[in-house]
Amino acid sequence: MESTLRTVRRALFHIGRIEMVLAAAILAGIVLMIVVQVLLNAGLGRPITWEQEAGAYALVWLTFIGASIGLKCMRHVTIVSFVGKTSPRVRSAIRAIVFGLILWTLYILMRELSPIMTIEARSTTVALPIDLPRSYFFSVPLMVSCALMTLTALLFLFEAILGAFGRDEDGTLLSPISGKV
Amino acid sequence: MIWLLLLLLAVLVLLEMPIAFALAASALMYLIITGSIPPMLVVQRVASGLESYVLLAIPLFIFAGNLFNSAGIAKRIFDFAVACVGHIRGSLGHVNIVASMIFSGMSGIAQADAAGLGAVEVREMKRHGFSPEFSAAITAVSAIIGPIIPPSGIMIIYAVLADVSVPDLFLAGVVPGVLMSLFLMAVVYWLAKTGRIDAPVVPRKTPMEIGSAFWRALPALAAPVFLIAGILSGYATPTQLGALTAVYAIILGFAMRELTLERLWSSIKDTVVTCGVLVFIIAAATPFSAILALEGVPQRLADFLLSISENPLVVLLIVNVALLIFGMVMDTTAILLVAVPVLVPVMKTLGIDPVHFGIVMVINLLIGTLTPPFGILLFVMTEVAKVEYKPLLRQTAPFYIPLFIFLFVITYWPELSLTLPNYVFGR
Repeated sequence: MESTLRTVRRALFHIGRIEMVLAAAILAGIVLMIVVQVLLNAGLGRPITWEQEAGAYALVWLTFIGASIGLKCMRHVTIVSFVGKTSPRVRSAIRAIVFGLILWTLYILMRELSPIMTIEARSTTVALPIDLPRSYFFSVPLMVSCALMTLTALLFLFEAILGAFGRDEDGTLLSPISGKV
Repeated sequence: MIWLLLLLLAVLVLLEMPIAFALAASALMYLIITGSIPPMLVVQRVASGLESYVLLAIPLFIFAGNLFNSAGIAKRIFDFAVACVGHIRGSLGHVNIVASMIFSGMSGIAQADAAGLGAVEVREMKRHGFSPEFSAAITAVSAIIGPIIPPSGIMIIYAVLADVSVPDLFLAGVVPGVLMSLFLMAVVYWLAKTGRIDAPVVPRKTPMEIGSAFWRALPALAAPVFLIAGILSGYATPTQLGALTAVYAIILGFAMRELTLERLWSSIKDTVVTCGVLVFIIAAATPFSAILALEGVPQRLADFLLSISENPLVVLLIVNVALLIFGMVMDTTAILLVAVPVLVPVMKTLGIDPVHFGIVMVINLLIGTLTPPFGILLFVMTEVAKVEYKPLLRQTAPFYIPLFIFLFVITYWPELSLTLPNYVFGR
């Protein structure tokens, strides 16, 4: 059981690294594009016409990839209430409920997104040099993010259930996913 | 049935579900239970709600702030502030506030200010004999200046939601930000004078020493000047200024040999996660906000508020008290997302300028980041300064009443916020 959990954590860690490289590339691309736009506009009076549209799309991808990484790092904003004051087993049981609800939310989102992707694919981008389906920048990144977060939430749900049954002797379950596994 | 939506949200938040998921889950549960609106209609808005070039400024300013932190700018700013105000009674308490005010011109997220510049401030204050608890408290309090003086992540979100100009809001924050700094300095002075804090004074620096500190801090001091100049000239949009500030920070960091590739990568990683967490709340709250709008909550709330009083001063008072209470228990971004679409139409009906209301709301919600039980800045500072929560809260307490008074002043004196943007933009 422990080795399986370690393997899953290691796999999610590597997925997280790929996500981070992708997100970093998007961030760098945004900065570069805007700087070039400002220079071209100021120097040659010839702005990049698609800069604003591309920037908005890049933000969507950056946000949803960042959200997935945030879940792996357990960095999503949470209001601290009574849960921390309960016993470890009760705490794990509550966390299991929470991750169960997160999984349910992600499932509903993905279920509703399927037809939305089809509808959004019928319209294309406006100013980009090549016409691309708008779904590539709205429903697709959200779907990808939901799928990736589902994997993470499944692991955390499983670990929380183990913890609720008192299987977290060393307190290593439900920790942020890092290279140290 | 709107109570059901709020009840679901409250239960999920109490279970410590991340805010973003709690907002989305409660909205989806509500839709499925009531069957009032097909979930597809609101899910479609989750991603498309982010289609905003203005929102792109948020990750860019977060990135710039992280880079300035990594580039060792914080220490130079702190040294300059020591040279300027370290000799005044209250000493490094004032320095902390002035340094935060300067740094706020580069970064727009209070938590980033508290964790980045805050680490330098707390270390130096402890070294000079200040108690760790007071050092942490004043750092938390001064960090809220960050999002009032431009750039500001919270103002960008407000601007998008309320459909007001970002440059207008940025400029409207300048005078209140500086005033708040002076207000807080007055409190520190009073605390030192009455012996409530032990504040060893730094010897007055010579003009030569001040000049030297200024020279060392000049590249950092130039950043907010460029930013304000960019906004005033209309030469670049706030989003473009965010990117230019980030590039400036990279060049500065490498030129000063403080920024390494490793630190650059660390800044990028932190930006990605912070942006993912922060902007994802905006996306996840879209179904929640959509339900409120479709159920006619803004109109009902407007009717309710106007039934109490049609006097804008009274309505502002009620709204301020309500926001302060919500700020104690909810995340700032979540409150903005739910409250702005509801409150701004009411304010417009009453003839209150949405830019002025934006500043009031931003200051109000920032005070909420200092108040228990969910004072996020207090939690950040317990980590940064390695202090206990309760002693930190005790040291923060003397600042609450002055902050409420300051909020009152800003609320009922709109000229403090509006004069600068009106003057600059010729209105």
